[in-house]
Amino acid sequence: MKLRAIGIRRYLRVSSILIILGLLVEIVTLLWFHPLSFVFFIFVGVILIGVGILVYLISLVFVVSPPAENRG
Amino acid sequence: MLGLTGVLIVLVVLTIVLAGVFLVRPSITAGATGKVLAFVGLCVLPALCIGTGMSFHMQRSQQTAYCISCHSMESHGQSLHLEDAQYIPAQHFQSHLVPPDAACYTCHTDYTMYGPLKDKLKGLRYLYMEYVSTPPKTIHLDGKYSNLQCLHCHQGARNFEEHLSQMPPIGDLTSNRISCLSSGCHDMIHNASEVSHLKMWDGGATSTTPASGTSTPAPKAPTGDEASGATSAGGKGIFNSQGCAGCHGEGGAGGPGPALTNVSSQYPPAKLTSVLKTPTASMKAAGMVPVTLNAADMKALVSYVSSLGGK
Repeated sequence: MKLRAIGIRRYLRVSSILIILGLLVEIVTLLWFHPLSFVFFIFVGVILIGVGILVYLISLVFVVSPPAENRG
Repeated sequence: MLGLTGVLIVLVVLTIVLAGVFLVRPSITAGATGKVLAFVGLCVLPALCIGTGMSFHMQRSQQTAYCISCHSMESHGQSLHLEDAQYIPAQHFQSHLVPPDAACYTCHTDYTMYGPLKDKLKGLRYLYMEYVSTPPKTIHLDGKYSNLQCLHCHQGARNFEEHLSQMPPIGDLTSNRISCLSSGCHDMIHNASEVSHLKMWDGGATSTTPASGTSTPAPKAPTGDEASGATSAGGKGIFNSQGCAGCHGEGGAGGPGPALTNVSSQYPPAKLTSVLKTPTASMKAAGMVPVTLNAADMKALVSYVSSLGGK
């Protein structure tokens, strides 16, 4: 399975990048006193963080340990 | 708010650092501790950041300065500073009948993002108009203003309950069959398109200082004549807001009740104050109700009523 081949580490990296980007957007919106900051937070920050969390959870569900014959 | 912002930023930075660890060294999730840390850093803390950030933004959006930071809302913000206190928002704002730093939200609790999904979509439409298309020159309230926005403060208040006899049946007000604003009782709302032509009261400007940090100089201390004039002008607003004009006519010129243009010759200020607080039996029989005001407002009202007919 392709997901299995990709491995959990790649998923973790993708998840981390998305979460970090989303959190950086959140910091900007916290410091920006304007109605648009709320929109950016919801439609950029929350979506990035949410997708990041989702990717992490997907990695837990779909990425399984390698078959026994490949373990060394 | 700044302290809360600081705490939130610390939380977000902490989460970034933890997520950064898994970006650089994802292999640490091989152990049990790493797995727990990954769950905290990539699931629990980011979810917490979303929740707290959402709460922060919702709270911040209740601020008056936040609402009027939109260009289209500037004139509405200015209308809070109108000298003429018969403008209901100005009267409420300047007399602190609503919290000055949450003035908009106090009277518009069901608007845009605070209402149900339909209202949230309206809010997005306003954003689209503001930044993509062209907002209308004169902004009107979307839909009908609900009396409940007034009644959640006024209903049960002594000043309100004591004037119920002058109002439509309370059932009609609570069910919105008769509007507080469009039934002829309280018509002067924001009138934002005209505020630039009207005289402004600059005493409370600092309360709604926009985020840009621009501030208005503190008002000068009034001279004796100015103070008297200001008191009289404030009294006019109180005269109208108390519903006096409903019986005594616009400017006290007379209506169903007697004209007040010669009051000063009959009643010196102390006597007039007493009569307003405790009307005589004949006044009560004619429908006059006791006026309940604080000392400053009573003084302003007496000053205004005494000045009628003398101009």
